[in-house]
Amino acid sequence: MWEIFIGLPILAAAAFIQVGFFGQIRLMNGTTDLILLCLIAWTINEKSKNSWILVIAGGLIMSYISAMPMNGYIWMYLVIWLIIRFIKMRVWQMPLILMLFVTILGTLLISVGTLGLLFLQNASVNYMDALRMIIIPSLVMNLLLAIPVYAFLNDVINTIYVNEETE
Amino acid sequence: MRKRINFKNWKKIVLVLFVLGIAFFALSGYMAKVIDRIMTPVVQAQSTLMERLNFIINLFSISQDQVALVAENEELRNQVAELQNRIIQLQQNLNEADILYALLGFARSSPDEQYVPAKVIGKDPSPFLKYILIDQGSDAGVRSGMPVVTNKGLVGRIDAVTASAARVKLITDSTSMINAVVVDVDAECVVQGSITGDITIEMVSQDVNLEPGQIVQTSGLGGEFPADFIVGQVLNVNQINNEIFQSASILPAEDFNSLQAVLVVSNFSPANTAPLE
Repeated sequence: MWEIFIGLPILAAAAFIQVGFFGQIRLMNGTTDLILLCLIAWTINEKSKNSWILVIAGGLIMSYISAMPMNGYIWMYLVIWLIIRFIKMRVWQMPLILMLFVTILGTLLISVGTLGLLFLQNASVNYMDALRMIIIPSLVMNLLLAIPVYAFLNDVINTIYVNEETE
Repeated sequence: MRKRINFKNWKKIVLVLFVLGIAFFALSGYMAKVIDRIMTPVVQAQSTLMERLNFIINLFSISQDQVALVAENEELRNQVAELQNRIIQLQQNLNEADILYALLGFARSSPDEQYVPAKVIGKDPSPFLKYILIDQGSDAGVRSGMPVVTNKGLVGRIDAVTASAARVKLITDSTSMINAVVVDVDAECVVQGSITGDITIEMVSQDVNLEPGQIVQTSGLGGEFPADFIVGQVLNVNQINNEIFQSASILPAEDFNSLQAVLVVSNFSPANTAPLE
């Protein structure tokens, strides 16, 4: 339960930081997705048990803040969570490399998903511009932030479970 | 009385007379050379002694002064840092005041419109979407669909509202389309955003002579925006002979990356054209 009680305020704080700070820092037109990084870092930790609740909460927060059509963030985050579960259980168990790998995969997935949703809304989309000006810069920024986020949240989760085990 | 004039104390009387005599000679100047000879080595010795003593005293007292100076220096540094912070704060306040004065001037220049001033508090977390969050919502009279402007020109329109905040779809968003007019040539067009935040005018007749620098304003057609709000000016014209329409890239009137405060036009209700579509 501590995982949820501590995870939710961290996600809320990440959302505030994302909207107020990281949203302003742009590399070309790309930005970081701090919530995505938090959810990936939380999910890949082997001790986390209820990460799916946080994934849904993160998706709800982002859907509330963002104008993404069809609550897209919830579905995209859930897909990324499923992919992490699959990779973690069957293929890969090196968390730091997994973090970087899933960051790349997650960023690309969210970008493709967003472009798909915008296409359904008849938005004016130039895919080459999207790749050059948004997707690659966002990927770079997410990768830059992935390791600090992983280090911080890994420590938080380990602390939570050390406390729970001692109790 | 007899005790006071006791002649048996002659030694004392002689001594007094001797001292008085010496004093008399000294005051008369006869003893100067003698005194000089006696006092010079004494003064030198005293001077040397005092120098050494002062050196030793300084050795200890300077270190105390240094401690005091370091403390004072630290305090002054703190004061300087505090004052610099205050200067930065005041500069920020001044910038905000400049923006608000500009918005106020704009609002006064068009008294027919009613405005709700709002501060920009965030941007959409998705890099593909061009939306901003403002700190005024339905409590302040902000409703969905209301146009949002600054003193420089059109910003966008309200997309979603909560009690104390609202989300504004910028004219640079890829789903944004606005009916506009190129003022100098009186040509109707559609302003379209893109995922990179660039805006263009589309569907301009090939007969129209578009040139860089021409002003683009809202036309009011469609009833989604009031007329005559500046959108930007023509930057580059893209004219291909075989096509039906020409297009042009637009330099927006407002810099959307540094947007800090906006005005919501609260007395404008967008026309509901949904039943006609």
